[in-house]
Amino acid sequence: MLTQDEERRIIDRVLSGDVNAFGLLVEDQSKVVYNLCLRMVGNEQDAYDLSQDAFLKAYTNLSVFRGDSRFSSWLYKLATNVCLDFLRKRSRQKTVPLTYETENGEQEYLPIPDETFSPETETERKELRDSVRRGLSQLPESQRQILILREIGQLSYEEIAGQLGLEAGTVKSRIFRARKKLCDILIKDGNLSESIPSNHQEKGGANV
Amino acid sequence: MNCEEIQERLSMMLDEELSGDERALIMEHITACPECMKVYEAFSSVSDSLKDLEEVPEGFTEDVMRRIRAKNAAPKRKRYFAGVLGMAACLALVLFAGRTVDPPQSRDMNGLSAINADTAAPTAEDAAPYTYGNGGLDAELMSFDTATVYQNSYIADPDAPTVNGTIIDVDDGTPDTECETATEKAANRSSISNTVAPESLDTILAAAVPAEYGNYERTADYTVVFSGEAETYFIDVWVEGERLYCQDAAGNAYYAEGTYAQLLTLMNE
Repeated sequence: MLTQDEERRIIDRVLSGDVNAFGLLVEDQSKVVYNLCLRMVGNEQDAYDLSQDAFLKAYTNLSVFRGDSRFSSWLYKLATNVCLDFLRKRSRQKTVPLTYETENGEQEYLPIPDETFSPETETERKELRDSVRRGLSQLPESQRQILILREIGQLSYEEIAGQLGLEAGTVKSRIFRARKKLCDILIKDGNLSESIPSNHQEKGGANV
Repeated sequence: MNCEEIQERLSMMLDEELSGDERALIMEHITACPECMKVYEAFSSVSDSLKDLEEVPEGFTEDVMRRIRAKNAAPKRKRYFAGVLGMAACLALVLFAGRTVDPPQSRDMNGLSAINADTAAPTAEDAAPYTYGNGGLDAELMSFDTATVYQNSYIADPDAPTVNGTIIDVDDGTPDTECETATEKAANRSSISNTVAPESLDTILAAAVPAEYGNYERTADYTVVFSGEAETYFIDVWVEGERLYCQDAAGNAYYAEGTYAQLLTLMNE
């Protein structure tokens, strides 16, 4: 990963006409940006296109990037916003949802075909990852974006707050709520081995 | 601190947002409280799973750089409406509305050249060299965000279908301004349209056979508008039986690969 100074120097080169230097920023950030998009939209094809769009947008808007934050945190916010736009557009177009209704009226996930062979531990890891992916898609957008910026973008609460124009306290509570909700979904999904008692909030437990 | 408060701090601890003292306090609690320990384990495994990044498909950086170079190399003549998007959209609406009276040949003189001095009426020299016969549309068009197929209200075919039986307001969501008069609005509202991914037009509107520019006096039956971040590009389409006669913003005229039936299917998607 590039340091903030290195990012700045590359940006200056790009702005002074060295287009190819932008490739260094793409190379440095593509994995994180791709994964941010993947967790935002939940499928590889859209994630690829959207992360490409995010870099293109970053390139086009590079001259308005103010150096008061890290380039990476600005880029991550931009990428997640590109995804949010996409999801909103998609929901307007009413695409086929990933769930279907069972005979007794419950929503079930469509099975996602997977033909790759993998050892058991790898399978479990993948199961959890897929389950997390589906769980993420059920989070409110505001929680999903913040959790992803934190976990994948590795931004601090302060950086997220700065990028999204929120109070650090709001970021903290949204991340917490997002985690709890995600865990609840995974437990329901049978993908967290240890179940958390649903009434844990009410119980006093051990006090400090 | 109750368990709820402890769990909120567990979340902060995972995010390295707690001081050493606070950490110690939380660890002390969770070792004594099985419920909070379970929450901690659940939070950790979800967090680890989220951080378990997938590899980027090969060629990603090259693809980005190719698109950037294509964007930079895009011929100026295509940027008919370059500039503020809202303004471009607004101007585009005026052009649609105004074309009832303007034959296609003269609209560049009437409208476009006045908007941007760079973009005079197309000349033979200006016209992009087309690959005829399944060459697909210009790759740059595929990088635009959307393509909207407008069936113009003055379509020549009296039996032209409506899209799902409804008339769609083609107002693109930009704030109404003085450039949209009541008459223009009415004309726009009587058009029907459908917004699709640019790729879906790649083969339908690809050039099959070159044609003479300005075959029609009347306004186009359909106008396909490709919209990108800050620019718009259009292709006018006239229906000739099953064939589609196209004129693009760069001044090319050709018969398309696709048929009228295919265009209609797309309109109804």
